Amino acid sequence: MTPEENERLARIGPGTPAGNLMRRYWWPVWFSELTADKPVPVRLLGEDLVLFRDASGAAALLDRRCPHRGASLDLGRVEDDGLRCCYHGWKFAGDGRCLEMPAEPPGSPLVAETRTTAYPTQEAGGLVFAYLGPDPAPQLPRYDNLFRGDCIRRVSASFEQCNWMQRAENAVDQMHSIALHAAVYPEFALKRPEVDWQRTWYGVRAAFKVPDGAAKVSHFIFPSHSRYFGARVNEDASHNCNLRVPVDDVTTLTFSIRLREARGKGDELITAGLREVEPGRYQRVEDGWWGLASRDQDRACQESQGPIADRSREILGTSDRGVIMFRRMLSEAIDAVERGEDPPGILRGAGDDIITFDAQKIRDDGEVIEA
Amino acid sequence: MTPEENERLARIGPGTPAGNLLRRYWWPVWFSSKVTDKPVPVRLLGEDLVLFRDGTGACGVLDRRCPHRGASLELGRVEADGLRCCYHGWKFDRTGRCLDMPAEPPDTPLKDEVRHCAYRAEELGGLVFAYLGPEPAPLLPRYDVMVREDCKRTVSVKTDHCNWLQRIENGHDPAHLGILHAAGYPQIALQRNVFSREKTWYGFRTTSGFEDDMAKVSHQIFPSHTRRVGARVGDPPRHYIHYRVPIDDTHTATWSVQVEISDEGPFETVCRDWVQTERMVYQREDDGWWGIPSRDQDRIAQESQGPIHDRSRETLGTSDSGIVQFRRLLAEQITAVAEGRDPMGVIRDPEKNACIAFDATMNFADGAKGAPEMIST
Repeated sequence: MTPEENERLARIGPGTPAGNLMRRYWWPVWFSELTADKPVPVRLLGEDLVLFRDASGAAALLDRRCPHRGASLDLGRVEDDGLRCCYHGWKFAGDGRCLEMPAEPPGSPLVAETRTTAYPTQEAGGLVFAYLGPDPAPQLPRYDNLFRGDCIRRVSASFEQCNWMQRAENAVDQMHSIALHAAVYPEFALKRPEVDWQRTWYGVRAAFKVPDGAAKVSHFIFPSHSRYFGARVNEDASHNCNLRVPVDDVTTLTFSIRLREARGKGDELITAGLREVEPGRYQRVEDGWWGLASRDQDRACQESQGPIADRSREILGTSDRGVIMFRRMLSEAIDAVERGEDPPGILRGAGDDIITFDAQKIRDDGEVIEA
Repeated sequence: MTPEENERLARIGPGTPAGNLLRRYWWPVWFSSKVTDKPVPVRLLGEDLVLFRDGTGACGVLDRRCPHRGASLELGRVEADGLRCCYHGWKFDRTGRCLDMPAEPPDTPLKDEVRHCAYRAEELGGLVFAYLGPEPAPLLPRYDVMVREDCKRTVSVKTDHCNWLQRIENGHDPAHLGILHAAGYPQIALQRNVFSREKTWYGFRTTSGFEDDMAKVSHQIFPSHTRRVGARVGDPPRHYIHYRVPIDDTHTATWSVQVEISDEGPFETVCRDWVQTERMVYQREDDGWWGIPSRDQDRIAQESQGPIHDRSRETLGTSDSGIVQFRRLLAEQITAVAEGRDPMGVIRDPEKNACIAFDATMNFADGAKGAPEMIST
């Protein structure tokens, strides 16, 4: 890959080829339960935004910069009908309309003329999603982890200081489990698995088969999410979905949605919130392998590839087929958007059916669990 | 000096003229005793590297970036025969050969095709040295303070946040001694330093002093080391070598080996921790002079010249003759390497390298009386 191709795939700011592609999807920006009457600064696809919930209960997302003289609206006050800037009191409704300019003469035409950038939002699975692309917005896909009931749903998030693509590639690279996660899965540490990657309408279905074992099935949801199954001994099986959100070119925010069966006890939402991590610092352990705590293994490794990995200097093998498949999909999807077409995974008029995924996993004690 | 000449002398990244010159020398990168079973990230001449000690006890230096998909080998695991990357388990020995690709098919030809960037490493006097230049590598110089056993040896290192050349020029500049270090040497404060320099096979031998007392002898080992005796007020006389090591264009590590002659040995080399500093940050003190603590005087003065000093805007006097002489020599040696010759000070004869001794003396500080001479071999 040339440095130019690498830049084309990796950078997602406004007006970039991959940025135009990524703007065709809905992205989670924050937790529903933590979106209330205080403005929350959020950053998505290189844009600084502010999120708040007005008195109608709707979540609204505006450009963080006040169009008047650029003060930050995250210093503002949430009022019944909108968000008021702290500097000169301009007030904006959730749709971007200006409602008031207290320092201007009464009847000023400027109020009606001024509009700030507002993006559509919707909520699902305990998260607020935003859409930064052109109209008409597609549907927010009704993935099971976001929409199904009768479950205990736990949502959390954490930042990684690297480009989104490194995190996405990791999700379609099942092979790394034998090395990076060797301490977690000692039964197949450094043992070569067979992995079958199949392209699907939503991304890639990967079947990972270790020597003498059944296949573990997981899913990559284009452009950057993963959907897999967890089955530790003595714990209820869990349905996991990691939504990897490009905050900017060198920062990724991963929202994790973990579901356990409620077995008729009704729905429950646990908002665990943002896990605080210190950039470049990882919890060290003595495990005979890399000395990285389980939950820091992916973050440490992908941050170590650099803020934006230089793909012009790689050596890829046959075990990297999943990564290559993803890069090809990404490049084709950018082309599709440039031609004015919808990229993969975009749904319009798809109805209300919940989208489920077949998942299978060998439990820690060897038993095969089916979802 | 034009800005272009300045860049030619100062920048040392891969492929630069001065970078090609400096790659012909061995450079200290870490303490021997601190290379255990964990990989150590090091940076030298603008290259990110990882240092480790394999099961044979030998040190290896590899490019820190795994050639597969660029994960850092600093997160890897040291095994008996090499270093394994944490991401997909590729393993490399200290010569850069790939020994294992566990996710690839067992008969993959890729394993033999991949060769990772590896550099030579050797140990001496408590330090690990690396060589980043072309083969055949020259010998690692065996300077007296590094090989003598009848001495207490202490090794320390500190980072300066400026280009290497500023630090090296300081070693060729005896004139700053009674000024910048006035608080440490009150008896020579603001006195005009007189010096004479003799060009040698390794660099320069400098005799300096004040008026009729010309007893200080120090050596400037090309391209960037100083061999001297120190005897500041309150300290016993000590022999030193300072290796000024270009980490990258704007950071320089100074590895100092301090030796006190003593027949009470045997001694173990004492390794201090790496002294962490911030650019231009130091503890102010009230000494009636510059208010900079003794240990930070050189660092702060040279950092204040800028990350890469702009030599096109200087005004030089006759007391700067040592610096001018050094710059001329540096330019000549860059040309020598560009023309395919060995630069000065490179040693290839093992007999010459048994123990390279220097006569170094000090005159004017109170501790200098009886400063022992290093014995020539």
